[in-house]
Amino acid sequence: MKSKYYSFVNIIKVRFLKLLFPVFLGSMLFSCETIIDEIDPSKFPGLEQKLVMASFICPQDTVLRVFLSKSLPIYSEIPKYEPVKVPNAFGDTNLYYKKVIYVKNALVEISDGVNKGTFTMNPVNFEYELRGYKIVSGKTYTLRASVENFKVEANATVPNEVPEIENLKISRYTNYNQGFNKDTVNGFNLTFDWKDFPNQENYYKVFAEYSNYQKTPKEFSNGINNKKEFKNFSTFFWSNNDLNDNLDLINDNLLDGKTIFSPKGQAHEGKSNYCNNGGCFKTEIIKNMPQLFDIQLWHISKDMYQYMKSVRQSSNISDNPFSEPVPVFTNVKNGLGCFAAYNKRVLVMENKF
Amino acid sequence: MRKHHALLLLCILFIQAKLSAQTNTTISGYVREKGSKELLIGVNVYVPSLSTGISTNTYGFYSLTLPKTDSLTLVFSFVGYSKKIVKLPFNRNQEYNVELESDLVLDELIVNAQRQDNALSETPQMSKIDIPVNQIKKIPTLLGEKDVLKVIQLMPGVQKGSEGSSGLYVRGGGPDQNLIILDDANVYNASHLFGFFSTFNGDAIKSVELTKGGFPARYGGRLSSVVEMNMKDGNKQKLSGEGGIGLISSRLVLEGPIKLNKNKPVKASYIVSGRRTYLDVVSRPFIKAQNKKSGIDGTGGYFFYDLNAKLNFELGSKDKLYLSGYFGRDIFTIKSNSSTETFKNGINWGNATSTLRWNHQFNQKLFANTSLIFSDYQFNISGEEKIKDIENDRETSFLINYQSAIRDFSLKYDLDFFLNRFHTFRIGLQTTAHHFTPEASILKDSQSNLNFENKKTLNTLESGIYLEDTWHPVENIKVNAGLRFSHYLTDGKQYFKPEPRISASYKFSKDMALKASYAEMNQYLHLLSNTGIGLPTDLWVPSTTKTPPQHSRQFAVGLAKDLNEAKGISITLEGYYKNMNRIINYKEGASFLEIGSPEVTDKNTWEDKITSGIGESYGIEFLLQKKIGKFSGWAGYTLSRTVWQFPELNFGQEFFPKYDRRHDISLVGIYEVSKRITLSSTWVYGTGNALTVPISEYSAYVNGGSSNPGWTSNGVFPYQVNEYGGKNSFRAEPYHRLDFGIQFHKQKKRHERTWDFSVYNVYNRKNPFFYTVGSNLSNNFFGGNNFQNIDQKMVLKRYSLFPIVPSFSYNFKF
Repeated sequence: MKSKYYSFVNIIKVRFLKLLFPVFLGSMLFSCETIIDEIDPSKFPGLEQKLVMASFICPQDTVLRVFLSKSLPIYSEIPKYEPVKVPNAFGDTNLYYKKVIYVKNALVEISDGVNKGTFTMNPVNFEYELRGYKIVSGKTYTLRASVENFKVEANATVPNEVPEIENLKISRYTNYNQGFNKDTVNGFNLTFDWKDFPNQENYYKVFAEYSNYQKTPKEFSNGINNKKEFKNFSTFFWSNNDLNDNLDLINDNLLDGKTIFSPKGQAHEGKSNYCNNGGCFKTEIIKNMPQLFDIQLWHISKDMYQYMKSVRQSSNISDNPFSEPVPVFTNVKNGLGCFAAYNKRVLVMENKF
Repeated sequence: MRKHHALLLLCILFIQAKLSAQTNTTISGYVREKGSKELLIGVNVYVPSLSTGISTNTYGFYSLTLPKTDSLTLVFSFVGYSKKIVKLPFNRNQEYNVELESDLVLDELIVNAQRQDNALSETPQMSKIDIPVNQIKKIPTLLGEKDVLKVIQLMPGVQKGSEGSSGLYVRGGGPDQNLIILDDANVYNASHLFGFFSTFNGDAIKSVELTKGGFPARYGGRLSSVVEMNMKDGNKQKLSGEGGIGLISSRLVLEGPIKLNKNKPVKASYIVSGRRTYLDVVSRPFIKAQNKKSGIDGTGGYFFYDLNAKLNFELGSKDKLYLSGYFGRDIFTIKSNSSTETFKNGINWGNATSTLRWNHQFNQKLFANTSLIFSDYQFNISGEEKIKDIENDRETSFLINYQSAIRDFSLKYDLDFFLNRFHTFRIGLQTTAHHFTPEASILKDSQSNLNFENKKTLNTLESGIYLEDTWHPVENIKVNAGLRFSHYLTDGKQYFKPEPRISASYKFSKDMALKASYAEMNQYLHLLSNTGIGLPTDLWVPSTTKTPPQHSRQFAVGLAKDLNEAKGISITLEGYYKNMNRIINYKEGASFLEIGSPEVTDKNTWEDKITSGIGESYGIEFLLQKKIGKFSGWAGYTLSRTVWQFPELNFGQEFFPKYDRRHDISLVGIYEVSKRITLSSTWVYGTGNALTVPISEYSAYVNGGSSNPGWTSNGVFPYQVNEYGGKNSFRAEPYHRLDFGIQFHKQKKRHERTWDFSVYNVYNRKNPFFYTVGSNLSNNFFGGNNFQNIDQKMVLKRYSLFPIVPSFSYNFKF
């Protein structure tokens, strides 16, 4: 989830670029007719398709998952993407075309040097799964995948322990006249802190999600799809200053051994608007169903921190041609992606606010 | 203890001065050009019998203190002027002013016999190149626009940026690390038209001097180079002028005496020069036609202009006053109109400088200059959009203004103390009050009731004091040693940095010298630049409490040999090593333009977007130069390597900055076929820029943690990202280009005219301007990746700017 300003920021940005680009393109136009040429692929001696492997393991997992795909180098033909079935909020599944080149029938193995586990592919979503393989704190694991001529591997060490979540504070807020619809929005603020482990570099991720059950507005419940009930998830967005950046990834630089305070987490109740000719109507929260806060503190490896941060930055800038490019971290030998480990502490509590 | 040392040193100098006064005598004076009475800078005043000499200072003044003798022979020589040898009685202090005659008015044959270069092996200064202003006008250029900075780019150790750009990258430094001074005033963005042309109008410039290393202590504030330019003072004899009509611009210079009293000699003169482009007029119909095709009733235009002016007054034989100014602007506007929508936007930027200087000669040995300097640089983007909602009879408007500016007021005081033939001291101080507006934005949007203004300013004070001694201890050794203390006050924090400087030369034969230098520099201003495509979106920002000053150390050693003094052929070979600390760069993902909600804009300042690191550059430079004769020119070659390392960039790994260039070659030749025809040609070659280009696209899965099954798989979901294969790991294709020019001169009754024909990029090389990844099936600038099309591929495309460009201009001089 992006900040409440996200759409607003983008509208302004797009408008600005719209204004600026005629100026820029105009300059190219009169300076001389621009000459555009396709560069021969021989300029890229190292251009090759790579296997992309991603997996994030933690001792609390019951199922380990590996996501395998292939990169699409420039100069290669864009393939037809395969659809995958994805469950929707109403309990059904939808077919999705994601821009992912899935890899099937790969041999994927994990090992801690003694115990080995082999993954099997889930034919619905092409993910590789392994059940019953216990991840142990402090241990180092090697993940290998091979298919056709691709062979990749990466190592990850599980952080030993996770600090306690302390001083958890949740409060309710109401924002009036938000957004372009002049809507009123209810939501929650959340903060907590924890004690950093001294004398070592530590990396953390904070996570919180609020979930409730909702049903579509009365005005929409007369048709065939009437009174649809669904579970809603609202993920907290972490920010200290309303910038358009989620600050959920934290390092202990300059804070070694000290108390670290989470940024301010914010989430809406997650009511959706349904509009027809009669106007716009909101979904309703079902009162007697559980409304839960799932609050987590992850102790993550440095690789995971660098990877997640760079992926997020890289995707954030994709619509701004003035931005500096962001290289994405990888620890996968001969490939791309990341194999990383983390350890987490989880607090689940009911909404009493 | 240190105090005692200093006192002791002063006492020794005083006693030495007293003693030498009894046996020595002083000759001093000014060297001027015959005819115009223009003061000449850097004229070599040489005493052959004592193998000693000195150069005239920035104001044409020289002073020599030598042992008394019955007669003394003095040689005055300067490139492009006939040598003057005088024999004088030398047993008392005397003033002797000299006028040198320009080669241009002498017969060619006599010139060749008489001309002499300032021998390179004579000076301790290294890494310094005097750019001959006369040659600048003969070198072929893009669209015939003669350009000082473009000629500097042809020197070894200096690289240009992208195609057409007038930015200088000296010995691994960035374009902001050059101190560009015009009559003592800093010029912040020395370019027009997104860098295609420099702001300096060659007609009004008297001298151009580039220093790449071994910086004398009088200069400070930048890491990589000093480009010092001085404007002409103005002809004191008669009204004269020159001008030109070119394809894109015209220019005119007028200079002449100011006669206050008909019966007295002229004590004042002026020079005014102006240049304006007519690109706006030329391009308007094209833009209109282009817009019509797209169904828009709109137009746009671009032009730039420069104005230079200088007045000088001789208040007496010992006092001179100069008032000079520069004003230049680039203006770019686009307007469009329709029944429902109007929009108007533009970019403009420019410099304004003015300098008031007062020269005072206390006595024959002590010369002082006091300068009051003003400099202002502004960059603005503005956009306004109005949309009419006819149905609801409403109008919504959107307005954006973005500004970045810097304004300086400086005071500078310099003393030249010509103690004796062993020591020449320079002492001085400079203090500058900078007023920065790094970013100021105004945003108004009627639709969302937004009315937001954000302007942050910062005042800082930059000062420096220096002492410099040119010491000639024995015949073969010359040393220029100095120390500069720089001080910077920003936001309550002070930086105080000593900067030792030394350069020395050892002359081990008549025409060959070995030179070495060491210099430390600090830079308190930074330029943030991230577009890489030449838009002047660069922000000048100060050092602050969060952003400490940049610092560099440079060692250089070199050999200078005068191969043939009569023909002015010299060869220099220099090696350098430079390390740079706390240099700054944008963070990955940062953009100069991140305008969002008021809160975002307010809090996301430039300081949050930058990160600092270290850099290292080393290389070898070779220059073979022939300054005089029918054929003149130079060949330069640079082999260099520059590496940066930033903890927050490229995962802390080393990388090549964009303008790291392994090989750089420039060949320049000017051939005077006859008095009426001049041929010229240049060829340049440079290794391609180091760039970051996407080589593949892939799905990067991250673990967000959410339990929402709709868009994550147990919290994991993919983002589309690019693989770059490391920061700046792609090498652009090499840049090379041949230019050719021919000039036809003719002396008419009252003026001299020159037709100048030139061809830029003779063999039509498609040099890269920038690269993008896009679809092979469309030439859309952005996007165009419609993934439903099966035959589609993403490919790398090169955008080139200038094919072969012929041009001509008509120039006159009277």
